[in-house]
Amino acid sequence: MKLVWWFSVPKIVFGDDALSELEIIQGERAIIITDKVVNGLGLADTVSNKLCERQWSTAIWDGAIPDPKVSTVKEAAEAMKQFGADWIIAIGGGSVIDTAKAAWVLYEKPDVQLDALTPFDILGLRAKAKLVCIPTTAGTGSEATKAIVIRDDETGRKFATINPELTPDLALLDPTFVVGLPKDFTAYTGMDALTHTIEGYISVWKNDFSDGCSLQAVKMIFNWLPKSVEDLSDLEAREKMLVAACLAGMSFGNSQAALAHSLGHSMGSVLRLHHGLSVGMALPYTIEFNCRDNEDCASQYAELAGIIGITGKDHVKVSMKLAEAVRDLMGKIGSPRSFAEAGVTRDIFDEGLERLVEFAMMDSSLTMNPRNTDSHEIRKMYEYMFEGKVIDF
Amino acid sequence: MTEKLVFPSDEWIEKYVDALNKNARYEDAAKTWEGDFVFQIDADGKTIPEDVRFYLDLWHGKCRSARMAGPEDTAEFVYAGPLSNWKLLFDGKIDPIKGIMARKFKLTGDMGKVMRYTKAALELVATTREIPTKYLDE
Repeated sequence: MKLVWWFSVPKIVFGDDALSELEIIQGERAIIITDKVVNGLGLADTVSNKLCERQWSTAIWDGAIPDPKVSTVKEAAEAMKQFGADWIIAIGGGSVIDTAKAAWVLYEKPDVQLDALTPFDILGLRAKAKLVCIPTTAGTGSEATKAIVIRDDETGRKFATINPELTPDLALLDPTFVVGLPKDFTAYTGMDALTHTIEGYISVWKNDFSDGCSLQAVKMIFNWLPKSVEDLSDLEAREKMLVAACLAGMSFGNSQAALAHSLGHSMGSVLRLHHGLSVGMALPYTIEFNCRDNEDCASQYAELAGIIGITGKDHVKVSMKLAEAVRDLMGKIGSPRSFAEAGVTRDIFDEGLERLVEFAMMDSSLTMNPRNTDSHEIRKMYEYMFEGKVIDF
Repeated sequence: MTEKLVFPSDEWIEKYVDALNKNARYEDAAKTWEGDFVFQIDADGKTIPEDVRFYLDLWHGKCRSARMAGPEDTAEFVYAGPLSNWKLLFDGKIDPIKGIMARKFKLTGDMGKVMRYTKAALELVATTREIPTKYLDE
Protein backbone atom coordinates (compact mmCIF):
# COMPACT_ATOMS: atom_id res chain seq x y z
CA MET A 1 0.00 0.00 0.00
CA LYS A 2 1.28 3.46 -0.90
CA LEU A 3 1.46 6.37 1.50
CA VAL A 4 -1.16 9.05 0.88
CA TRP A 5 0.05 11.46 -1.80
CA TRP A 6 -1.24 14.12 -4.17
CA PHE A 7 -1.00 14.92 -7.84
CA SER A 8 -1.52 18.60 -8.45
CA VAL A 9 -1.40 20.45 -11.73
CA PRO A 10 -2.86 23.72 -12.99
CA LYS A 11 -5.53 23.97 -15.63
CA ILE A 12 -3.50 23.65 -18.83
CA VAL A 13 -4.60 25.33 -22.05
CA PHE A 14 -2.53 24.48 -25.14
CA GLY A 15 -2.52 25.13 -28.86
CA ASP A 16 -2.06 28.18 -31.04
CA ASP A 17 -5.10 29.97 -29.64
CA ALA A 18 -4.30 29.25 -26.01
CA LEU A 19 -4.35 32.94 -25.13
CA SER A 20 -8.09 33.00 -25.81
CA GLU A 21 -8.46 31.63 -22.28
CA LEU A 22 -7.70 35.17 -21.12
CA GLU A 23 -11.07 36.16 -22.57
CA ILE A 24 -12.94 34.19 -19.92
CA ILE A 25 -10.98 34.61 -16.70
CA GLN A 26 -12.65 36.85 -14.15
CA GLY A 27 -10.76 39.78 -12.69
CA GLU A 28 -9.89 43.46 -13.05
CA ARG A 29 -6.22 44.13 -12.44
CA ALA A 30 -3.42 42.02 -13.88
CA ILE A 31 0.28 42.56 -13.35
CA ILE A 32 2.53 40.97 -15.93
CA ILE A 33 5.83 39.71 -14.54
CA THR A 34 8.49 39.28 -17.19
CA ASP A 35 12.03 40.20 -18.20
CA LYS A 36 13.36 42.86 -20.53
CA VAL A 37 14.07 40.45 -23.38
CA VAL A 38 10.55 39.03 -23.43
CA ASN A 39 9.06 42.48 -22.99
CA GLY A 40 11.18 43.72 -25.88
CA LEU A 41 9.68 41.03 -28.10
CA GLY A 42 6.24 42.52 -27.47
CA LEU A 43 4.84 39.40 -25.78
CA ALA A 44 3.79 41.26 -22.62
CA ASP A 45 1.98 43.83 -24.75
CA THR A 46 0.16 41.05 -26.62
CA VAL A 47 -1.25 39.75 -23.35
CA SER A 48 -1.89 43.19 -21.94
CA ASN A 49 -3.81 44.26 -25.05
CA LYS A 50 -5.98 41.18 -24.87
CA LEU A 51 -6.95 42.02 -21.31
CA CYS A 52 -7.40 45.72 -21.96
CA GLU A 53 -9.96 44.86 -24.65
CA ARG A 54 -12.04 43.63 -21.71
CA GLN A 55 -11.48 46.86 -19.77
CA TRP A 56 -8.91 45.33 -17.41
CA SER A 57 -6.18 47.48 -15.91
CA THR A 58 -2.73 46.06 -16.52
CA ALA A 59 0.83 46.80 -15.48
CA ILE A 60 4.08 45.33 -16.77
CA TRP A 61 7.05 44.69 -14.45
CA ASP A 62 10.03 43.50 -16.47
CA GLY A 63 12.77 43.37 -13.84
CA ALA A 64 13.18 39.58 -13.68
CA ILE A 65 16.75 38.31 -14.05
CA PRO A 66 18.25 34.86 -14.65
CA ASP A 67 18.56 32.85 -11.43
CA PRO A 68 16.38 35.30 -9.49
CA LYS A 69 17.70 36.72 -6.25
CA VAL A 70 15.62 37.32 -3.13
CA SER A 71 16.06 41.07 -3.58
CA THR A 72 14.65 40.90 -7.13
CA VAL A 73 11.69 38.90 -5.89
CA LYS A 74 11.01 41.56 -3.28
CA GLU A 75 10.97 44.24 -5.97
CA ALA A 76 8.40 42.26 -7.94
CA ALA A 77 6.27 41.77 -4.82
CA GLU A 78 6.38 45.50 -4.18
CA ALA A 79 5.19 46.14 -7.73
CA MET A 80 2.28 43.72 -7.17
CA LYS A 81 1.39 45.55 -3.97
CA GLN A 82 1.60 49.02 -5.51
CA PHE A 83 -0.63 47.93 -8.38
CA GLY A 84 -3.08 45.93 -6.24
CA ALA A 85 -3.13 43.01 -8.65
CA ASP A 86 -5.86 40.38 -8.56
CA TRP A 87 -4.09 38.32 -11.26
CA ILE A 88 -0.39 37.75 -11.72
CA ILE A 89 0.64 36.76 -15.22
CA ALA A 90 4.17 35.39 -15.58
CA ILE A 91 5.50 35.48 -19.13
CA GLY A 92 8.97 34.00 -19.54
CA GLY A 93 11.24 31.10 -18.75
CA GLY A 94 11.83 29.41 -15.42
CA SER A 95 13.50 32.41 -13.82
CA VAL A 96 10.57 34.69 -14.63
CA ILE A 97 7.98 32.16 -13.49
CA ASP A 98 9.88 31.43 -10.27
CA THR A 99 10.20 35.18 -9.64
CA ALA A 100 6.45 35.55 -10.07
CA LYS A 101 5.68 32.59 -7.79
CA ALA A 102 8.03 33.74 -5.04
CA ALA A 103 6.85 37.37 -5.31
CA TRP A 104 3.26 36.10 -5.13
CA VAL A 105 4.11 34.56 -1.75
CA LEU A 106 5.52 37.87 -0.47
CA TYR A 107 2.61 39.85 -1.94
CA GLU A 108 0.13 37.69 -0.06
CA LYS A 109 2.27 37.07 3.03
CA PRO A 110 4.92 39.81 3.40
CA ASP A 111 6.40 38.28 6.55
CA VAL A 112 7.43 35.00 4.93
CA GLN A 113 11.19 34.37 4.77
CA LEU A 114 11.73 32.83 1.36
CA ASP A 115 14.80 30.84 2.39
CA ALA A 116 12.75 29.31 5.20
CA LEU A 117 9.77 28.42 3.00
CA THR A 118 9.05 24.71 3.22
CA PRO A 119 6.61 22.23 1.72
CA PHE A 120 4.77 22.16 5.03
CA ASP A 121 3.86 25.85 5.39
CA ILE A 122 0.23 26.88 5.04
CA LEU A 123 0.44 30.15 3.14
CA GLY A 124 -3.16 31.01 2.34
CA LEU A 125 -2.33 32.13 -1.19
CA ARG A 126 -5.09 33.37 -3.53
CA ALA A 127 -6.61 35.75 -0.98
CA LYS A 128 -5.31 38.61 -3.15
CA ALA A 129 -4.43 37.15 -6.54
CA LYS A 130 -4.28 34.10 -8.77
CA LEU A 131 -1.40 33.08 -11.01
CA VAL A 132 -1.23 32.46 -14.77
CA CYS A 133 2.00 31.23 -16.34
CA ILE A 134 2.83 31.58 -20.03
CA PRO A 135 6.19 29.92 -20.74
CA THR A 136 8.49 31.37 -23.40
CA THR A 137 10.89 28.44 -23.15
CA ALA A 138 10.19 24.74 -23.55
CA GLY A 139 12.02 23.38 -20.57
CA THR A 140 11.33 24.81 -17.16
CA GLY A 141 8.03 23.09 -16.50
CA SER A 142 7.62 25.63 -13.71
CA GLU A 143 4.23 26.53 -15.18
CA ALA A 144 3.04 23.12 -13.98
CA THR A 145 4.85 22.76 -10.66
CA LYS A 146 4.73 23.86 -7.06
CA ALA A 147 8.49 24.39 -7.06
CA ILE A 148 10.62 27.53 -6.98
CA VAL A 149 14.36 28.05 -7.19
CA ILE A 150 15.68 31.34 -5.79
CA ARG A 151 19.22 32.60 -5.17
CA ASP A 152 20.43 34.01 -1.89
CA ASP A 153 21.81 37.54 -2.38
CA GLU A 154 24.74 37.11 -0.03
CA THR A 155 25.98 33.54 -0.52
CA GLY A 156 24.78 33.06 -4.09
CA ARG A 157 23.40 29.65 -3.08
CA LYS A 158 20.37 28.60 -5.07
CA PHE A 159 17.72 27.08 -2.86
CA ALA A 160 14.89 25.02 -4.21
CA THR A 161 11.69 24.43 -2.36
CA ILE A 162 8.17 23.28 -2.99
CA ASN A 163 4.86 24.24 -1.49
CA PRO A 164 1.54 22.78 -2.61
CA GLU A 165 -0.06 26.22 -2.86
CA LEU A 166 2.48 27.37 -5.45
CA THR A 167 0.94 25.34 -8.27
CA PRO A 168 -0.27 28.00 -10.74
CA ASP A 169 -3.99 28.34 -11.43
CA LEU A 170 -3.54 28.36 -15.17
CA ALA A 171 -0.80 27.50 -17.65
CA LEU A 172 -1.15 28.78 -21.21
CA LEU A 173 1.02 26.93 -23.73
CA ASP A 174 1.14 29.01 -26.91
CA PRO A 175 3.86 27.88 -29.35
CA THR A 176 4.19 31.37 -30.84
CA PHE A 177 5.60 32.50 -27.48
CA VAL A 178 8.64 30.22 -27.81
CA VAL A 179 9.48 30.94 -31.44
CA GLY A 180 11.94 33.71 -30.54
CA LEU A 181 14.11 31.45 -28.39
CA PRO A 182 17.65 31.22 -29.82
CA LYS A 183 19.38 27.96 -30.66
CA ASP A 184 21.53 27.55 -27.54
CA PHE A 185 18.68 28.29 -25.15
CA THR A 186 16.38 25.97 -27.09
CA ALA A 187 18.95 23.24 -26.52
CA TYR A 188 19.62 24.00 -22.84
CA THR A 189 15.96 24.35 -21.89
CA GLY A 190 15.17 21.17 -23.80
CA MET A 191 17.80 19.37 -21.73
CA ASP A 192 16.18 20.83 -18.62
CA ALA A 193 12.90 19.18 -19.67
CA LEU A 194 14.63 15.86 -20.35
CA THR A 195 16.30 15.97 -16.94
CA HIS A 196 12.97 16.72 -15.25
CA THR A 197 11.26 13.82 -16.91
CA ILE A 198 14.02 11.27 -16.28
CA GLU A 199 14.56 12.37 -12.68
CA GLY A 200 10.81 12.40 -12.06
CA TYR A 201 10.72 8.77 -13.18
CA ILE A 202 13.49 7.51 -10.87
CA SER A 203 12.82 9.74 -7.85
CA VAL A 204 12.02 7.76 -4.70
CA TRP A 205 8.83 9.82 -4.51
CA LYS A 206 7.70 8.63 -7.96
CA ASN A 207 4.09 7.57 -8.42
CA ASP A 208 1.88 6.19 -11.18
CA PHE A 209 0.61 9.62 -12.19
CA SER A 210 4.05 11.15 -12.54
CA ASP A 211 5.28 8.02 -14.33
CA GLY A 212 2.64 8.43 -17.04
CA CYS A 213 3.75 11.99 -17.70
CA SER A 214 7.44 11.01 -17.79
CA LEU A 215 7.00 8.19 -20.29
CA GLN A 216 5.22 10.41 -22.79
CA ALA A 217 7.62 13.30 -22.25
CA VAL A 218 10.73 11.17 -22.85
CA LYS A 219 9.32 9.91 -26.12
CA MET A 220 8.44 13.43 -27.27
CA ILE A 221 11.72 15.05 -26.22
CA PHE A 222 13.98 12.55 -28.00
CA ASN A 223 11.82 12.96 -31.09
CA TRP A 224 11.21 16.70 -31.16
CA LEU A 225 14.13 18.39 -29.38
CA PRO A 226 16.62 17.86 -32.25
CA LYS A 227 14.03 19.15 -34.72
CA SER A 228 13.25 22.24 -32.67
CA VAL A 229 16.98 23.07 -32.46
CA GLU A 230 17.65 22.31 -36.11
CA ASP A 231 14.85 24.54 -37.41
CA LEU A 232 14.01 27.27 -34.92
CA SER A 233 10.91 28.25 -36.93
CA ASP A 234 9.41 24.73 -36.90
CA LEU A 235 6.16 25.54 -35.08
CA GLU A 236 5.14 21.91 -34.77
CA ALA A 237 8.42 21.03 -33.07
CA ARG A 238 8.07 24.08 -30.82
CA GLU A 239 4.55 23.07 -29.82
CA LYS A 240 5.52 19.46 -29.14
CA MET A 241 8.47 20.55 -26.99
CA LEU A 242 6.26 23.01 -25.10
CA VAL A 243 3.83 20.19 -24.29
CA ALA A 244 6.67 17.77 -23.46
CA ALA A 245 8.26 20.28 -21.09
CA CYS A 246 4.94 20.81 -19.36
CA LEU A 247 4.43 17.03 -19.04
CA ALA A 248 7.94 16.78 -17.60
CA GLY A 249 7.00 19.51 -15.13
CA MET A 250 3.85 17.60 -14.20
CA SER A 251 6.03 14.57 -13.57
CA PHE A 252 8.84 15.95 -11.44
CA GLY A 253 6.53 18.53 -9.88
CA ASN A 254 4.69 15.66 -8.24
CA SER A 255 7.55 13.24 -7.65
CA GLN A 256 10.48 15.66 -7.33
CA ALA A 257 13.90 15.77 -8.91
CA ALA A 258 17.04 13.98 -7.78
CA LEU A 259 20.84 14.03 -7.94
CA ALA A 260 21.26 15.69 -11.35
CA HIS A 261 19.35 18.66 -9.96
CA SER A 262 21.47 18.83 -6.81
CA LEU A 263 24.61 18.83 -8.95
CA GLY A 264 23.08 21.30 -11.41
CA HIS A 265 21.72 23.74 -8.84
CA SER A 266 25.17 23.95 -7.32
CA MET A 267 26.77 24.55 -10.75
CA GLY A 268 24.37 27.44 -11.29
CA SER A 269 25.18 28.89 -7.88
CA VAL A 270 28.95 28.61 -8.00
CA LEU A 271 29.83 28.84 -11.69
CA ARG A 272 26.77 30.80 -12.85
CA LEU A 273 26.07 28.27 -15.60
CA HIS A 274 22.62 28.18 -17.21
CA HIS A 275 20.20 25.94 -15.28
CA GLY A 276 19.25 23.73 -18.22
CA LEU A 277 22.87 23.42 -19.33
CA SER A 278 23.85 22.44 -15.78
CA VAL A 279 21.22 19.84 -14.96
CA GLY A 280 21.45 18.50 -18.52
CA MET A 281 25.22 18.10 -18.23
CA ALA A 282 24.77 16.28 -14.91
CA LEU A 283 22.09 13.94 -16.27
CA PRO A 284 24.12 11.21 -18.03
CA TYR A 285 26.63 11.06 -15.17
CA THR A 286 23.73 10.71 -12.71
CA ILE A 287 22.23 7.86 -14.74
CA GLU A 288 25.60 6.07 -14.78
CA PHE A 289 26.05 6.60 -11.05
CA ASN A 290 22.54 5.59 -9.95
CA CYS A 291 22.18 2.47 -12.07
CA ARG A 292 25.25 0.77 -10.58
CA ASP A 293 24.02 0.37 -7.06
CA ASN A 294 20.27 0.07 -7.30
CA GLU A 295 18.53 -2.60 -9.38
CA ASP A 296 15.12 -0.93 -9.05
CA CYS A 297 16.54 2.28 -10.37
CA ALA A 298 18.38 0.49 -13.20
CA SER A 299 15.14 -1.19 -14.25
CA GLN A 300 13.40 2.19 -14.27
CA TYR A 301 16.09 3.67 -16.49
CA ALA A 302 15.72 0.58 -18.68
CA GLU A 303 11.98 1.25 -19.01
CA LEU A 304 12.75 4.77 -20.20
CA ALA A 305 15.40 3.45 -22.57
CA GLY A 306 12.84 1.09 -24.05
CA ILE A 307 10.74 4.09 -25.08
CA ILE A 308 13.54 5.20 -27.40
CA GLY A 309 14.27 1.70 -28.67
CA ILE A 310 17.14 0.66 -26.41
CA THR A 311 16.44 -2.79 -25.04
CA GLY A 312 18.28 -5.60 -23.30
CA LYS A 313 18.09 -7.96 -20.36
CA ASP A 314 20.90 -6.41 -18.33
CA HIS A 315 19.36 -3.28 -16.83
CA VAL A 316 22.67 -1.73 -15.89
CA LYS A 317 24.00 -2.07 -19.44
CA VAL A 318 20.74 -0.66 -20.83
CA SER A 319 20.95 2.24 -18.38
CA MET A 320 24.52 2.94 -19.52
CA LYS A 321 23.26 2.98 -23.11
CA LEU A 322 20.52 5.42 -22.09
CA ALA A 323 23.22 7.71 -20.68
CA GLU A 324 25.09 7.34 -23.98
CA ALA A 325 21.92 8.24 -25.89
CA VAL A 326 21.53 11.34 -23.74
CA ARG A 327 25.14 12.31 -24.53
CA ASP A 328 24.50 11.73 -28.25
CA LEU A 329 21.44 13.96 -28.08
CA MET A 330 23.46 16.65 -26.30
CA GLY A 331 26.13 16.43 -28.98
CA LYS A 332 23.52 16.75 -31.70
CA ILE A 333 21.86 19.85 -30.21
CA GLY A 334 25.07 21.49 -28.97
CA SER A 335 24.55 21.22 -25.21
CA PRO A 336 27.87 20.86 -23.33
CA ARG A 337 28.63 17.37 -22.02
CA SER A 338 31.47 18.41 -19.73
CA PHE A 339 32.72 21.44 -17.83
CA ALA A 340 35.49 21.74 -20.39
CA GLU A 341 32.95 21.88 -23.25
CA ALA A 342 31.03 24.53 -21.29
CA GLY A 343 34.15 26.69 -21.24
CA VAL A 344 34.95 26.24 -17.55
CA THR A 345 38.71 26.31 -17.17
CA ARG A 346 40.60 24.03 -14.78
CA ASP A 347 41.51 26.97 -12.55
CA ILE A 348 37.94 28.15 -12.21
CA PHE A 349 36.75 24.59 -11.64
CA ASP A 350 39.34 23.91 -8.94
CA GLU A 351 38.59 27.20 -7.25
CA GLY A 352 34.87 26.41 -7.08
CA LEU A 353 35.01 22.68 -6.37
CA GLU A 354 34.64 22.84 -2.57
CA ARG A 355 31.59 25.09 -2.82
CA LEU A 356 30.16 22.95 -5.62
CA VAL A 357 30.28 19.95 -3.30
CA GLU A 358 29.04 21.87 -0.25
CA PHE A 359 26.01 23.33 -2.04
CA ALA A 360 25.12 20.04 -3.74
CA MET A 361 25.15 18.28 -0.36
CA MET A 362 22.72 20.90 1.00
CA ASP A 363 20.33 20.59 -1.92
CA SER A 364 17.04 19.01 -0.95
CA SER A 365 16.75 17.10 -4.25
CA LEU A 366 19.35 14.67 -2.85
CA THR A 367 16.60 13.35 -0.58
CA MET A 368 14.79 11.86 -3.54
CA ASN A 369 17.79 10.25 -5.23
CA PRO A 370 17.53 6.45 -5.26
CA ARG A 371 21.24 5.86 -4.63
CA ASN A 372 22.72 7.02 -1.36
CA THR A 373 25.70 9.28 -1.84
CA ASP A 374 28.19 11.39 0.08
CA SER A 375 30.44 14.36 -0.46
CA HIS A 376 33.38 12.22 -1.63
CA GLU A 377 31.31 10.67 -4.43
CA ILE A 378 29.86 14.03 -5.40
CA ARG A 379 33.37 15.51 -5.62
CA LYS A 380 34.44 12.58 -7.78
CA MET A 381 31.39 13.01 -10.01
CA TYR A 382 32.26 16.65 -10.60
CA GLU A 383 35.82 15.60 -11.46
CA TYR A 384 34.50 13.12 -14.02
CA MET A 385 32.15 15.78 -15.36
CA PHE A 386 35.08 18.12 -15.89
CA GLU A 387 36.80 15.65 -18.15
CA GLY A 388 33.70 14.07 -19.64
CA LYS A 389 34.54 10.61 -18.27
CA VAL A 390 31.92 7.89 -17.97
CA ILE A 391 31.14 7.20 -14.31
CA ASP A 392 32.66 3.89 -13.20
CA PHE A 393 32.04 3.89 -9.46
CA MET B 1 20.61 -14.50 18.25
CA THR B 2 20.90 -10.77 18.89
CA GLU B 3 18.57 -9.51 21.57
CA LYS B 4 16.06 -6.99 20.33
CA LEU B 5 15.95 -3.73 22.23
CA VAL B 6 12.77 -1.83 23.00
CA PHE B 7 12.31 1.40 21.04
CA PRO B 8 12.74 3.76 22.73
CA SER B 9 14.65 2.84 25.86
CA ASP B 10 17.98 3.69 27.46
CA GLU B 11 19.49 0.52 25.97
CA TRP B 12 18.18 1.25 22.49
CA ILE B 13 19.41 4.86 22.64
CA GLU B 14 22.89 3.77 23.77
CA LYS B 15 23.20 1.36 20.84
CA TYR B 16 21.79 3.94 18.44
CA VAL B 17 24.18 6.69 19.48
CA ASP B 18 27.08 4.28 19.15
CA ALA B 19 25.97 3.33 15.62
CA LEU B 20 25.28 6.95 14.63
CA ASN B 21 28.70 8.10 15.78
CA LYS B 22 30.26 5.42 13.59
CA ASN B 23 28.16 6.36 10.55
CA ALA B 24 30.58 8.17 8.23
CA ARG B 25 27.80 9.16 5.81
CA TYR B 26 25.90 10.84 8.65
CA GLU B 27 29.04 12.63 9.79
CA ASP B 28 29.64 13.81 6.23
CA ALA B 29 26.09 15.04 5.67
CA ALA B 30 25.74 16.70 9.08
CA LYS B 31 29.23 18.11 9.50
CA THR B 32 27.90 21.68 9.87
CA TRP B 33 24.66 20.79 11.67
CA GLU B 34 24.08 22.31 15.10
CA GLY B 35 20.81 21.51 16.87
CA ASP B 36 19.10 19.19 19.29
CA PHE B 37 15.97 17.10 18.85
CA VAL B 38 13.25 15.60 20.98
CA PHE B 39 11.69 12.63 19.22
CA GLN B 40 8.22 11.75 20.42
CA ILE B 41 6.04 8.68 20.11
CA ASP B 42 2.52 10.03 20.54
CA ALA B 43 0.21 8.65 23.20
CA ASP B 44 -2.50 6.47 21.69
CA GLY B 45 -4.66 5.99 24.78
CA LYS B 46 -4.03 2.24 24.66
CA THR B 47 -0.55 0.67 24.76
CA ILE B 48 1.05 4.11 25.02
CA PRO B 49 -0.90 6.02 27.66
CA GLU B 50 1.42 9.05 27.62
CA ASP B 51 3.77 10.53 25.04
CA VAL B 52 7.14 8.74 25.08
CA ARG B 53 10.10 10.99 24.28
CA PHE B 54 13.84 10.84 23.85
CA TYR B 55 16.47 13.50 23.32
CA LEU B 56 19.47 13.72 20.97
CA ASP B 57 22.01 16.54 20.95
CA LEU B 58 23.42 16.56 17.40
CA TRP B 59 26.51 18.62 16.71
CA HIS B 60 28.83 18.68 13.71
CA GLY B 61 28.12 15.16 12.55
CA LYS B 62 28.15 13.52 15.97
CA CYS B 63 25.67 12.89 18.76
CA ARG B 64 27.09 14.59 21.84
CA SER B 65 24.51 13.27 24.30
CA ALA B 66 21.25 11.36 24.35
CA ARG B 67 18.70 10.15 26.88
CA MET B 68 15.08 9.37 27.49
CA ALA B 69 13.20 12.62 27.98
CA GLY B 70 10.14 13.77 29.86
CA PRO B 71 7.29 16.12 28.95
CA GLU B 72 9.22 19.08 30.37
CA ASP B 73 12.26 18.54 28.13
CA THR B 74 12.63 20.99 25.26
CA ALA B 75 14.84 21.13 22.18
CA GLU B 76 15.26 23.22 19.05
CA PHE B 77 13.26 20.60 17.13
CA VAL B 78 10.50 18.18 18.10
CA TYR B 79 9.64 15.38 15.67
CA ALA B 80 6.48 13.56 16.68
CA GLY B 81 4.19 10.85 15.41
CA PRO B 82 2.26 7.74 16.41
CA LEU B 83 4.09 4.45 16.89
CA SER B 84 2.55 2.95 13.73
CA ASN B 85 4.23 5.67 11.68
CA TRP B 86 7.57 5.25 13.46
CA LYS B 87 7.43 1.61 12.35
CA LEU B 88 6.82 2.69 8.74
CA LEU B 89 9.74 5.10 9.03
CA PHE B 90 12.15 2.51 10.44
CA ASP B 91 11.02 -0.05 7.83
CA GLY B 92 11.87 2.41 5.06
CA LYS B 93 8.24 2.64 3.89
CA ILE B 94 8.35 6.41 4.33
CA ASP B 95 11.22 8.85 4.59
CA PRO B 96 11.37 11.49 7.31
CA ILE B 97 10.63 14.40 4.97
CA LYS B 98 7.85 12.73 3.00
CA GLY B 99 6.45 11.64 6.35
CA ILE B 100 5.94 15.27 7.32
CA MET B 101 4.41 16.15 3.95
CA ALA B 102 2.00 13.23 4.21
CA ARG B 103 1.06 14.41 7.73
CA LYS B 104 2.35 11.22 9.33
CA PHE B 105 4.75 13.21 11.50
CA LYS B 106 4.83 16.72 12.87
CA LEU B 107 8.01 18.74 13.02
CA THR B 108 8.22 21.70 15.37
CA GLY B 109 11.14 24.06 14.82
CA ASP B 110 12.82 25.83 11.90
CA MET B 111 11.77 23.62 9.01
CA GLY B 112 13.87 25.63 6.58
CA LYS B 113 17.00 24.67 8.53
CA VAL B 114 16.04 21.00 8.41
CA MET B 115 15.43 21.21 4.65
CA ARG B 116 19.10 22.11 4.18
CA TYR B 117 20.08 18.87 5.90
CA THR B 118 17.65 16.36 4.43
CA LYS B 119 20.52 14.02 3.58
CA ALA B 120 21.51 13.96 7.26
CA ALA B 121 17.89 13.24 8.20
CA LEU B 122 17.90 10.21 5.91
CA GLU B 123 21.07 8.95 7.57
CA LEU B 124 19.57 9.42 11.05
CA VAL B 125 16.78 7.08 10.00
CA ALA B 126 19.02 4.66 8.12
CA THR B 127 21.08 4.18 11.29
CA THR B 128 18.04 2.84 13.15
CA ARG B 129 18.13 -0.20 10.87
CA GLU B 130 21.38 -1.27 12.49
CA ILE B 131 19.65 -1.69 15.86
CA PRO B 132 17.69 -4.91 16.50
CA THR B 133 14.42 -3.26 17.50
CA LYS B 134 11.17 -4.31 19.09
CA TYR B 135 8.43 -1.81 19.69
CA LEU B 136 6.50 -0.67 22.74
CA ASP B 137 3.42 -2.60 21.65
CA GLU B 138 5.23 -5.93 21.13
